[in-house]
Amino acid sequence: MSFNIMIVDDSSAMRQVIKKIIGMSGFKMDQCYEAGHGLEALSVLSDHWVDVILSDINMPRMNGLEFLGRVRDHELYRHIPVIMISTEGSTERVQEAFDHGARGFIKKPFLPEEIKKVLYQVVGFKEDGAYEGNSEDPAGSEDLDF
Amino acid sequence: MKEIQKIRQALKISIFEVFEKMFFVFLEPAEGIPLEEGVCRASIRYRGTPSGSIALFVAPGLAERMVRNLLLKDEGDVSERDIEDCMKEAANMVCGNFLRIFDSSVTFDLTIPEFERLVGGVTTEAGGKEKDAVLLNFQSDSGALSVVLEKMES
Repeated sequence: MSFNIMIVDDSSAMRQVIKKIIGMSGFKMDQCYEAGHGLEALSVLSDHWVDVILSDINMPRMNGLEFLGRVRDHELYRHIPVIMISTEGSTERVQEAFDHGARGFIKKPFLPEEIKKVLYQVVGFKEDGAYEGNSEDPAGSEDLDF
Repeated sequence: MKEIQKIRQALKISIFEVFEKMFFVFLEPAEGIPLEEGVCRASIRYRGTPSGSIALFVAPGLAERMVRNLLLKDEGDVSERDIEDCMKEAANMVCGNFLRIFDSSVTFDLTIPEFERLVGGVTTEAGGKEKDAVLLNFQSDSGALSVVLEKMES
């Protein structure tokens, strides 16, 4: 089984980095869509099937938290796991992301292993391809300062 | 004075983390270094308690190396757009990481980073306002980096 991924970040450099990391991690990625802000991401969702979303928070036009709220409020998109990747890591902001329905949170700067680990946790697959169940527990939070 | 020392320490840790983890660049603290022609300036403001701004002044050689290391690009394959994008992201990460280290219990709002390529060399300084500004200088084998943090009224 392979997954369609969408990376939402206003930095094209960061989108390239995340895409490369996922590609090199062995994660079974089919299509990788990109968007520069939340509005563009909603437009991608209306045209393509997406299995996992990785989104920044601080973006122009529509920020990551607003985008997350719109995804959660949408009948067809609410099941899609969203992982936030952001420099904004205050306890309150991370909690806000989880309250809005984020399934994972990765702090920038990050190591490639961190993205890989959270991604596998969120889709519920092990690195050898075995399915271990889709946990509802937020991924990445164990490293955060709660 | 105690707060400015805490800011200085948190900012230094943040810069080392971002440059080593994301750009594979190892910096050495240095005294004031004049930056040559074509310096990249990337800045960002944050609002909270306290509020302020952070500006990175990156030597051209270091900026190109950061892009090559981050995006795994070859020499000569780096565009001005890549440089702008990477410098903005560096400012964003240094700022967000600094605020988290400084006080993770406070939520700050960050602006969208800005970028400009400066004509002529610059010598960064904290403007003599030691109480409200922090200046940190670094050297790497690809060029110098100066970071200026200025506090503002919340």
